[in-house]
Amino acid sequence: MSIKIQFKLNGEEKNFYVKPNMTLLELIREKAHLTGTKHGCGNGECGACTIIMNGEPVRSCLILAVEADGKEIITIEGISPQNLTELQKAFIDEGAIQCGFCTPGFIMAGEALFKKTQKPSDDEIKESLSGHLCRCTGYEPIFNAFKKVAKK
Amino acid sequence: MIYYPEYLQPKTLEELFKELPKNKKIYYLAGGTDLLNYLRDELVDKKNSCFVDLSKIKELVFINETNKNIEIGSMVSFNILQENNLVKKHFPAITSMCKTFSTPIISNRATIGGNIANASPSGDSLPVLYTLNTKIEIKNFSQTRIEDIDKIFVGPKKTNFKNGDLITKLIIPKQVLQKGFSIIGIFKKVGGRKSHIISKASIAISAISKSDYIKKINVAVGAVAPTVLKINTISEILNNKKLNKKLVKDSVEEIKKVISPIDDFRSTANYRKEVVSSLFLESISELFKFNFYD
Repeated sequence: MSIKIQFKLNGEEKNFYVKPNMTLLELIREKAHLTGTKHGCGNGECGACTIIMNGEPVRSCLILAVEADGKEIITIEGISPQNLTELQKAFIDEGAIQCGFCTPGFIMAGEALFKKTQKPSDDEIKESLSGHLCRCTGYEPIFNAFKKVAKK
Repeated sequence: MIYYPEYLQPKTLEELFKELPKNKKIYYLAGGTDLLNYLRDELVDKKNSCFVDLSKIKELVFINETNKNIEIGSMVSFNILQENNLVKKHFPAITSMCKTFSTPIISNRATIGGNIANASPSGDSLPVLYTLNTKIEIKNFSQTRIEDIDKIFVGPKKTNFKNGDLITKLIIPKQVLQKGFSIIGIFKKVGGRKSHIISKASIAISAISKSDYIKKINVAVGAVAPTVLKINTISEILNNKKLNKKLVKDSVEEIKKVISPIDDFRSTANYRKEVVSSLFLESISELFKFNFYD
């Protein structure tokens, strides 16, 4: 049994036929071939699969692909297709990337945060980072990158 | 994910109960933050199940004020709940709970109805809803019933729900406040870290008070018994009293009497027993701005 769904992916209307047990993460990576969104833990703990759905950051591993029908979805590829965003630049400047696996998730959480509030407090930054795991950087450079954008 | 459950995506409750199969195990998909894990870990009925996605049913997403109650639709997510002004005004314990509930990203999806239906003794919303004497509206085909929240749980992850029962709303009574009194509330939990964690033990307190005089208080604890427990004996000790150290000490003894924590992969029974007492002292100290520790 396949179900037809239609949604906006990075600004473009897309159609897919999906099985009802496929996750949105699997759809994004394996059917839409957008591999910037990462499959980490697969149970909502690590944050690597974070995307923006209807303006809110969500875990794509905990959403069925069929639930995306009618929604507007932005992945890391759709954040700023031409240039780097301020946050992405700050990540580079602050050395907030080592292996890079967690980075798309952090960027998505950050973009959603800065859309809501341009000058988030330290606590708001920490709260937005709280659902994301990074095993390389120790979080300090990531926090600093967020701070750098918040100061601007 | 290796199997393909039947899948429905109704747009209204009417449509839902028209299409709902009678001979299949029904899994309602709300935020999916628990159910997708069960699906992945193959903990759902493989052969004969039907997933019913509730995400398109707009009539389940609302927070309304009536004469006597605040009514909350079952598909309200924790981030909406946290920001809601009616909830902030009437039920500070709910707002307090939302702040420590998982992470912002999970809160964007996880729903209050899902947290109840999952029936985990460590579900964070449950002790809070117990302290507020919440009633739950449940629909199944043409039938509607309303039950007290403390009557629906029969064990860890077990409710008295029949196949197809759907939580449609929560009904929480507003408190009538006499002059000078205010409603206060708090939720605290202990886990392996601060964020994104399932409680090893938790506590919720809701009270009506005027400085250190308690008119009415309700205390409930989570993750220290097969279901969440409301400790009525504490209400008996503290209602209509000026709070003092002796009364607080007696209350802690009551907690230790009624709980029955277990050893599991998350923690030990002894630790839970100790820590839930500390959570009570910490909460009561914070609520009444006095150190009740020593």
